[in-house]
Amino acid sequence: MRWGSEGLTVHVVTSETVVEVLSHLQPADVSAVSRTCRLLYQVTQLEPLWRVLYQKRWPTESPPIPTRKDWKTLYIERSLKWRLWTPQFNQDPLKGLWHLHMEGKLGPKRQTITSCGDITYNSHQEAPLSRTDMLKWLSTLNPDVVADYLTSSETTAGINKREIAEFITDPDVIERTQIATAVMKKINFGGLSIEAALRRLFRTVSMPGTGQRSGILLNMFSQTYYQENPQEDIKEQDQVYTLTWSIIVLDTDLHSPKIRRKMSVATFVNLAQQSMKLTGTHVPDRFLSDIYSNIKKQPLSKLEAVEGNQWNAGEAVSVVTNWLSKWVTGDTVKRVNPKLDATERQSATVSHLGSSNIRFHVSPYGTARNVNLQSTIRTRRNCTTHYKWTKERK
Amino acid sequence: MGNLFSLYFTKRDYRLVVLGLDGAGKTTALYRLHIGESIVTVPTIGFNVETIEYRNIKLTMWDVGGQDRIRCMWHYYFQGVHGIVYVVDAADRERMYEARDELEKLLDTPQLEGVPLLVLANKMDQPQSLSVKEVVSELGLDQMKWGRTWHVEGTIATEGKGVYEGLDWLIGSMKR
Repeated sequence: MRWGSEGLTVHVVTSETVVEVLSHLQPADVSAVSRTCRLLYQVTQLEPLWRVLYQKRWPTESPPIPTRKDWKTLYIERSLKWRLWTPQFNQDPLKGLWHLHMEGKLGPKRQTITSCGDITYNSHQEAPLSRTDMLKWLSTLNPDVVADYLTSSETTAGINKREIAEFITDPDVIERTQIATAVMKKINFGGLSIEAALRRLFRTVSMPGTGQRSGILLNMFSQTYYQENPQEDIKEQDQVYTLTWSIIVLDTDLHSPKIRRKMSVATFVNLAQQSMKLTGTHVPDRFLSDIYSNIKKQPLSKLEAVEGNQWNAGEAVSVVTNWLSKWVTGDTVKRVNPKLDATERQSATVSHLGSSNIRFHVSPYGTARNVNLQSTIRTRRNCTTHYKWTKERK
Repeated sequence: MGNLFSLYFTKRDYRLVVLGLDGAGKTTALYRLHIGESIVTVPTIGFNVETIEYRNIKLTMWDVGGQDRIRCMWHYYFQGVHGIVYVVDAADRERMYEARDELEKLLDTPQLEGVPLLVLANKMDQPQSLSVKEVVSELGLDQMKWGRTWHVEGTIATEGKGVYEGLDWLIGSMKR
């Protein structure tokens, strides 16, 4: 068995070294390595490797004492711990929370039942209630506990951030519960600049689909930010709100491929200054031009925000197609589908979704295969797009 | 011949701005038109900008929400807009006055002078809905002093009824 062009023979290397090397990989890659040959399969099943991987991923948790279970099983069980409620949440946030509730994670079950006594339901039912009843039930929950689940990176693995945003900006939810406020408080904007606070916000939520909901979200953000940073230069909540919207508009302008003509620094400073004037204040031009250059350098939320999300192959294709369709016309998009031959029950993980390079990891029925999609996007007057597809069998 | 060629083969780039009070059905109308959009979207931070192609014409539509605070920023995007789509909820009689107010403010914007206006009177399937005629008078379109062409189309955005008809009118008047 030879490794690469240098001709490194695996037999020569000790298993400790291989474990050391493998422990730097993602578990998905480790499993890909295990499928290459019998020798490497054995290496990837070693206890120390999975112990290291476990400790790396959950460093703050005291590792469970491995009794009968081996470390690999523990790892898998641990990583599946929160996987069950997220698909339901993505489908319907209320259902997702109901799922958590049924597992007894949102507080004692019985208490909830008695506290909304006029609702009758069977505690084993999956989604037993009408929306009205669900909202009633939601209002009985402790908002801080719900907010914990919605903001922790651990429990939200695989969750659709837009769903969180849609959920917390839902007028019914805002009216009946304090969940939205609790979420904002949990994210913690204290001591940050507005721009940094926005970046932190968009690590947890995404922008809702409509202008109206976006307004609600940014209003909540401004309110919380203003409360948490009272000594900042900006004196009123209204000013925070205006500045926040200006940054959002700038971010869309500079990074949306649908907007061809980009705003210049001078235009942005001028427009933002005009808006700020309406709130009765003036901010230094330098402050605004710094925001401009920061946003230009790095979008508020990179596309990597979806990294690690688990999709089935169909969804992944849809996401990528969608992503590509922002740059290219119909016929190229059509070419994406057959190339991926993503059918049936393959699972695909987008391991990298940067600005110009997507790497797909498709594993159909146990055979690992990397599908690399490299797209070079050249924008001249019209967009011309080149794709290079490589399929490697491992 | 040259004319015929350009008629069929050149893609024209038109910019539309979609506006209206919250809950009027802007987004529904927008997505009705945005054919081929799949349900899963990659999350991006920002406001809605959609590009659709319809009858060889490329339309860029902006859903700028009702963000009063940054009105001057939106005005920047109004430069060079070819058409306005204004969505009203015909079933919401109480807010018609508010809709009229907003529309008047919008049409007063210097950047939008003379730009054709399409009003989508949405939610026509509701029993309490105003008729197209009533919408015209409620919005004060018949008393409009500005020199622009306008048209009101009754729509049911959820079913897509009327949306294309309205758009056809708008494209026709933008070409002129």
